[in-house]
Amino acid sequence: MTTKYDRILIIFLLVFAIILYCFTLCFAFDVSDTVRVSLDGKEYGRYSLLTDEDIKISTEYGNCTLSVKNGEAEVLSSDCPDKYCENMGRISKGSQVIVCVPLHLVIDVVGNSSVDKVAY
Amino acid sequence: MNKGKKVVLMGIFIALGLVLQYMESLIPIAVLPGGKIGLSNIVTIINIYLLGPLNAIIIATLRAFLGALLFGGVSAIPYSVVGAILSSSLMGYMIVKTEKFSPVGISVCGAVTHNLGQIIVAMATFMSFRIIVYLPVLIVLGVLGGFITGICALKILKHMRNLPRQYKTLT
Repeated sequence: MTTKYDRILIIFLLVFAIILYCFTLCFAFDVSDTVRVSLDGKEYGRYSLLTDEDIKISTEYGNCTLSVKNGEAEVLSSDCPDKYCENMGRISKGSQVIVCVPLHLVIDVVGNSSVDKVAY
Repeated sequence: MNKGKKVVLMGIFIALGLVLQYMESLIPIAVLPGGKIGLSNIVTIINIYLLGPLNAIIIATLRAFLGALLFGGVSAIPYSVVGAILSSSLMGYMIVKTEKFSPVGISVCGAVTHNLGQIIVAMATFMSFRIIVYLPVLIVLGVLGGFITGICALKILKHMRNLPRQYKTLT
């Protein structure tokens, strides 16, 4: 049914995925206390993970609300049709990302070092 | 097979792929955007063996375009189309040039390449390298989904032994 090359291929892909995952964990070593929101590839704003607040993000594609609570950020509500972003969970480390495709938003966690303006 | 018959057959396969895409969108495996079983890959693989890689790529691309238009949004079109072109091209190449993989391996490659294409489009659209953190999960989902669809394609091709085909399967 399956050939030897099939099995080699599958094992290779799974091993590659594991190695790639370890590589992405390197993103988590920064001091991560700021959540960064990017719209269309350009930075929209940075918000501290240390203060609990709800942040309203309004774009020309729609609005959504980012909620920061207990050092984690999650999408509370969103205008997008598929709502993938609401189910992506809470992020708090550099190796985690939330993406909302219809709203062209990327939400990730960065460190404090290269920030000149932080919105509280 | 005359030209008219081929056009009709290709149209039927596009429709079949669309129906499969709609059916699997009803199953809530919405772990990540793009995490799906990829049932329409079954149609693509069978098309490569039946009609040849070029026709299969055309069918897959049109199906991806129409599927994104119908079931996603305009913003979903580049993800689907790029994923479909990359994965069907690679699958076509693997079947034609290498005789070493069964439909299961082909299907795994197709599924993983499809997800890879979507990640590439996402990284280009959002200018964000961070999106690559999704790739490990998508590779694993692609292997699982590809395995399932590959077994399906294998079984279906076994029953199509007597039809006029361009390429033989290994087993």
